[in-house]
Amino acid sequence: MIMTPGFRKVMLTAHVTSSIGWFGAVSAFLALAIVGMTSQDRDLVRAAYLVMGLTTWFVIVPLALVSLLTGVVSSLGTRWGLFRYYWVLMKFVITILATLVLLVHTQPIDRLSGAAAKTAVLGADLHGAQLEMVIAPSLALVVLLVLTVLSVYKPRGMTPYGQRKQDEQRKDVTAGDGANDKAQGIAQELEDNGVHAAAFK
Amino acid sequence: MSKIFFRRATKEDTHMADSPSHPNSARSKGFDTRVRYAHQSTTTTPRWVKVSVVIILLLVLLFVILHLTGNGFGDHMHMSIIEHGGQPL
Repeated sequence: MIMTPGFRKVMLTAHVTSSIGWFGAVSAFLALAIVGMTSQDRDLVRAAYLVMGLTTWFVIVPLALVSLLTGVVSSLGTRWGLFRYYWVLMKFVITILATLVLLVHTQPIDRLSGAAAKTAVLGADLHGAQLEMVIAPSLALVVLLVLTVLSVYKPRGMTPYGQRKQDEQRKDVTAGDGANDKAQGIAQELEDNGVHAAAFK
Repeated sequence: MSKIFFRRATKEDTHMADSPSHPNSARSKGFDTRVRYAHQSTTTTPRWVKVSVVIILLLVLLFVILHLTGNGFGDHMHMSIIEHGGQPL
């Protein structure tokens, strides 16, 4: 099913926005985690962990889910497909894994922010958790950067499924059904380049 | 493993970083050359995919091992704040 150009751009805008927002929110989370681990100011440390808990549930998790959802819709609604190109498939797999890891880590984040809400000073045993609060978002930023690189460079490579689909399309084209597709393809390419069909009317 | 990393660069490899044309475009739908189709239909899994899969599997394995052995956020987070030496408000 191919989306209309308008809906496709809405989905793409939502996907880019949520993905960038995800990256920014994790960056802010990392800054708070560093403050929480290194600062000597008790109030500041407690505030940092409280905000980290809120940021996780109200910003990072929603953005991650929106990014995943809009990415799937965008790929399935265009000829890129979800399983046709390795770079799209790779993005899908990495995003699912990153979201799962994020959801797994919400529980300890909640516990740490809960402890910050109930205690004046965090125990020394929590130092390991504090360290992981720095390491996990650092790795997450690397993963999100990889996803961005994949989106921008779109490294070549088509899956066996994509090759079969392409062969089927080629047969359709050679069978004489290609004129309409060709016109749609050219219109789509013009649309991508910011040239609207109305300009030719 | 070494085969993946040290394999001599082929013509396919030199094109890997190039952006493919948009699949909706006329070019990618087979209006340019038949060579393009023949070339893509015979391609094997790109090297960057193999390397990425290995890295992802290693990271997943590391993540699982760390959490199973309790070196992740783990068990110490399940203890009460008093056990952590925290001072209740």
